[in-house]
Amino acid sequence: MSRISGLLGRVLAGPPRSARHKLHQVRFGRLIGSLLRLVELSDDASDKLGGEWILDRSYVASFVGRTLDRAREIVFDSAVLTGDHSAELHARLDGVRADLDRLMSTRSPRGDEGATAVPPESGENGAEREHVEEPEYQALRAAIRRLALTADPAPGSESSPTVPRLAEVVQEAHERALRSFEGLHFRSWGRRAGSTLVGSGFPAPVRVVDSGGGVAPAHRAWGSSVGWERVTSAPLRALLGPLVTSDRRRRSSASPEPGSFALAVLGAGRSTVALNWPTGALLVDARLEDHAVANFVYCALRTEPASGRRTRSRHGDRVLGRGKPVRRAEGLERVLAQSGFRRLDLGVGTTGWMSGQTPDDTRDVLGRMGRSLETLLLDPPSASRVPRRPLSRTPSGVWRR
Amino acid sequence: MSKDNLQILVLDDEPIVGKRLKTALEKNGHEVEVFEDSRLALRRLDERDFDVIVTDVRMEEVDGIQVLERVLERSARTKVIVITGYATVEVAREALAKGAFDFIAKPFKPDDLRQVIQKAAEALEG
Repeated sequence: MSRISGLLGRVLAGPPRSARHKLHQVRFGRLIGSLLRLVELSDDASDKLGGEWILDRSYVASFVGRTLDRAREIVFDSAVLTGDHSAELHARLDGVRADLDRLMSTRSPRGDEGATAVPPESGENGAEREHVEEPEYQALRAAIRRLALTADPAPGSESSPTVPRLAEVVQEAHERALRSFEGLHFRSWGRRAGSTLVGSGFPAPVRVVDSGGGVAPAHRAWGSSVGWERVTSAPLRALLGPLVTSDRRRRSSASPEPGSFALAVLGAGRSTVALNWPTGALLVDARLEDHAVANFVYCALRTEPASGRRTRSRHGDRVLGRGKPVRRAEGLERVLAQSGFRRLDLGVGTTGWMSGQTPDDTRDVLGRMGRSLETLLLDPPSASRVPRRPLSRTPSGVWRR
Repeated sequence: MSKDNLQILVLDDEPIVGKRLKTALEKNGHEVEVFEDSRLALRRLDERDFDVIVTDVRMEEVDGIQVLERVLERSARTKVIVITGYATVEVAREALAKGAFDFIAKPFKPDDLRQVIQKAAEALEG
């Protein structure tokens, strides 16, 4: 009877959970893709503003329209992930749109934008003269100020708390989506149904959910463990491979911090890894395929409790991350800086991504990230290595001493 | 006629385009006349010939394709360069099929246009 009930449980719990993870992975991937396009649009507009480009109102209108479309997609995907309507976010987005419509409906921007002096150029008599920036460029500057995700979107522009900014809406939508996605992972870890333990002596237990092609077919039976050699997902192998190879060295030096674990949703060329440890959480979403245009690495690092949920470990219940130092985030910060990650101010501790790299470069970046994960998972360094001053976060999201 | 002294007419209903192109092209020694109204531009074209016409496609009253046809009826040697903010393969194909010398999409840099005008000047000399 118990075997029948166990089989029934697997039939009922396994595939739907896997499908739900896959749906979340796809939806979260869409959200990240929209974020990427948002940044690209903003970069392109900033380039047009700074260079010698000849543009007209249609470009400004197109930039505004496409940017708001992407933002709308982000809010929509976030709402799907969180299971609510996010009416408040849509309303705030409408506010940004209304403000921009007012801006675009006039040839000259409102008085608060001011006239911006552009670099002087030679006049007919050879003398240097300044001219006032044309309305199209003023409008573009004002639009970038409202739509860019970076803290200082338009050099030379004055910040004003009264101007509705898209970044605030996107940050909120991203934050909600991230927490929802992480929450799904943590719940899955707690229940364990539908996931498979990877038995390879990682610093922390790693469970995987196969969303298709991430694990060798003969070893997809849920509830059993699978050897690392059977994991076929290219990005996960690149990310966690270094931890496997350094296993012997790690065992001789330090032990994993109790309560750490990772859960990965795997496809052949895609992996979404939620790594959790008592002082924080990291989500790494990556695609690693033959075509560079498809490749990306996204990561969101928290140095505070990701969900506040209790998680059961072999060391007993513990609340995730209460007052632990954040200094171990430095290792990952260094990797992001050295690897050329694009850093974004998205309201999460550290968010960054890179895209369009060759397969080798993507593999290399993931490998470097993987090596830095070891420092996140292992016990904190000894007192002699602890920095004298605690880290604090700058407005741009960088941790500094 | 010198490659450095072309007679150029710029037609775009967005003032910023004519303003910036006039400055950029005059720096290269060209003589530039700018129009925002296509009907006024056509009237000017009836009065005199130009070496190069730079025209937007989407305009009220008379669009860039009509300007192209009118120019080539009057002077087959004139090189017409079409610019547009609505760059599509279809528009480009239509303009080129009807005899446009080249096609450039907004937004663009003055250097992009200078290179096309340079090619036009070489074609005019040849």
